[in-house]
Amino acid sequence: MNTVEVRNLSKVFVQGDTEIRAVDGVSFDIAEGEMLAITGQSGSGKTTLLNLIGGIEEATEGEIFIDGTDITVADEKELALLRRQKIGYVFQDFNLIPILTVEENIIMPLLLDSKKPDRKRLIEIAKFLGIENRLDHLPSQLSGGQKQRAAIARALINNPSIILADEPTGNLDRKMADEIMRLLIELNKQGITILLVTHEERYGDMCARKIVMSDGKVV
Amino acid sequence: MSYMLYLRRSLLRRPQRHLSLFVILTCAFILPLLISICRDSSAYGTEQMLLNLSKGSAFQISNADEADTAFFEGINGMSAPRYENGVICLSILSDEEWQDFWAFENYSEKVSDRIEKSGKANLIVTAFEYGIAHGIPDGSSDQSGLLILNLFIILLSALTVGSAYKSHIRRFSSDMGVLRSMGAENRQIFTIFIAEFLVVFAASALAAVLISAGVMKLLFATYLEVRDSEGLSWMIFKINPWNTALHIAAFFVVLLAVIVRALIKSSRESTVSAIRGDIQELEMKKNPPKLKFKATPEKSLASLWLSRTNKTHSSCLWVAVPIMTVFLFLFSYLSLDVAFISESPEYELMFSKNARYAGGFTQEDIDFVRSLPQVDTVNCRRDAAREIFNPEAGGLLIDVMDIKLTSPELHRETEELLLEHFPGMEYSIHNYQAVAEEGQELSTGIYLMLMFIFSAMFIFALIIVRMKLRDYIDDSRKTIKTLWTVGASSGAIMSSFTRQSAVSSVAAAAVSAVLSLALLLLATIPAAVKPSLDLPLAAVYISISVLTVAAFILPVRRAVRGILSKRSREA
Repeated sequence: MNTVEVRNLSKVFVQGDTEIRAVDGVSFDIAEGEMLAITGQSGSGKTTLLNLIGGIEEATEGEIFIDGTDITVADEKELALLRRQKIGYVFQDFNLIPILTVEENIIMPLLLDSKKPDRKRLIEIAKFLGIENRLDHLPSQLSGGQKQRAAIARALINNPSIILADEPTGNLDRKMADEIMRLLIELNKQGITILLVTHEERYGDMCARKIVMSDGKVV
Repeated sequence: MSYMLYLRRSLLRRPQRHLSLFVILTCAFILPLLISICRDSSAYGTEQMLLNLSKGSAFQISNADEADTAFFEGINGMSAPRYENGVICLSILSDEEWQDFWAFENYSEKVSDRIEKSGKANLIVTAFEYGIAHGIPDGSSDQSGLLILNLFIILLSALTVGSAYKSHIRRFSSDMGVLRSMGAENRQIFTIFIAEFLVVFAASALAAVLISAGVMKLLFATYLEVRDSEGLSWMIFKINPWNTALHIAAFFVVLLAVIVRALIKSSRESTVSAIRGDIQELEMKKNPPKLKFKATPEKSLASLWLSRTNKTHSSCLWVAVPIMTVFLFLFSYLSLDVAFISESPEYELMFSKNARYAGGFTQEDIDFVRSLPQVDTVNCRRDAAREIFNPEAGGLLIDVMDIKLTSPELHRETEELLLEHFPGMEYSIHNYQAVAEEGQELSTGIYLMLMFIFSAMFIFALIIVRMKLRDYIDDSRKTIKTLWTVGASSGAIMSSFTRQSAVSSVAAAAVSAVLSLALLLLATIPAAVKPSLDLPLAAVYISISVLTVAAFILPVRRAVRGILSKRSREA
């Protein structure tokens, strides 16, 4: 069964009189439990494609099915629900809310979903990611690697169908980047579907499948 | 625990932002509240003055003895006569009859008949309409004028605060984007920011009411209270809670509308742009004007900023110009008012006698006044006037002596001397000098009140302008760092940013001055008063212009210096 199905997807940005096709007629599937990498050079449309699948950018054409639901026709409320319950996002620059502690950042998706945080699960995730001693810290008190682990913990807390990771190693040093990749592969082994966007071939090769993008198209 | 946790943490961990909003809102409330308190105090003072004058009665018979009450017993529909210090008071029992013109005339005739029957020619009757006897002023144009002015100020202040709130919300766009990426609905984000607004609004409204009431009570106790005065309107400290609540409610409604609009606008922004939080990129014009080369790099850069990122400066102008205009107008208008009420009179006393009922002054009366050693000159005239409190009762005819004293300080003792020598109710003294002295004392209070208003308004404008300009420089951080890296000197960068602030600040100062003078001219047309720009007024205009220029330039210099010094340390 496919977790994600992308059909003939396009995204056009208009700048002045110029039209830029950031994503141009892309189609592919991601099976449940798969780890897929999207690679390509800077400006090839990888991040835009990820944002379209995550429902934080609106498609110009095409369809995206997540667990059978077409998100291109979903309204704002349905998209928000989808992001809360089925998608976990990991950004290159972490995007932790600076005024919340690590624990508060992690549980925020649950609070937005009116769910009571399960402390046992929180500790379990934090232990797995090695940040159990950093839960009371503010993001400004963490290293880059710790921030990214906190962001992964936040993506995991809602048991999503898929984790979308946009250059999760982009702001980290080599050692820390390898560590984050190891964690993502470990999560995938536990059955979590992962879509990874990276410009580093090395990390793309670590995934079970890889698609390469150029000028908005899958090549 | 709910997602409102974000709000709690935001209030506790970013207190400076919320504190700035609190101060902005508190200062914004102060002027409308002060005007509201002045309105309430003036209305209460007028009520007390009318009650004091009429003693709650329909008719007052002056020059009477207690025994004269017998002549006014048993008038059908009227109260029993009440004697008080040479005056007999009578009231009409039915309020409907009192308010009915013909019924009132009928009672006036009955009272006149009784006076005629008493055979006492010296009894003088004064009639009071229902409203006056119950402390309800006749025309309330001043009051409604102030209410309109206040609603205008509220609208202006709320729009200005709304502009600050928009900047505030812009600062949180990145957090909003992250929350949305986690699955927050717009409804939830709205709830967080509207709850934040409600908390800050409630705290500010309370603080503003306490500060305004405290300061005004103090000023009234020391300078501003006017009572027992013939020449000035009475002002007695009073706060009508309903009026205060009305002003706060009006403020709330306008501000809420502005904030909801800003939130709706931010909700339409793409989540990706919001997360990135690059405000300058978001607000950049799609087709920017071309770079114009000027004589120096500083000038070229300043012109570049002005053509591409000038939204902040124009919004600062929209904040500073109305606030400074309102203050300068208030200052110059009240200065004119103060000059008018505290001006030294030509004649210190006006001594008059009712000529219609009591036959006017005799030569003996005039000679007596002229013989007083402190009297310099006496000008005698006969004056016809309508009765102020009973205009239907026909004209008054009075004999007047305008008295100029050898020294103005002798006005009180001369007044007492005249009252002692001429004890009857047909005599009346108007002490111009006492009114001028009261006006002089009042002027201190008015200037202190203006200082308070200015402090509140200036802090209001200053914080908003500072917030906007600092945010602007913060958004230009990347540009500043890049310029520095490619070799621009710190001086050139600093000058390029301060130059555009200088242009905006001079524009703000000049436009405020011109607009306030134009408003002053308009406002003084009905009173046929010619305003003049004297030295103290010019000094105030110049000082405020200097402060405005400083308010625009200093935050920019400080913020740019902070970025540059950090950059130098990093290098």
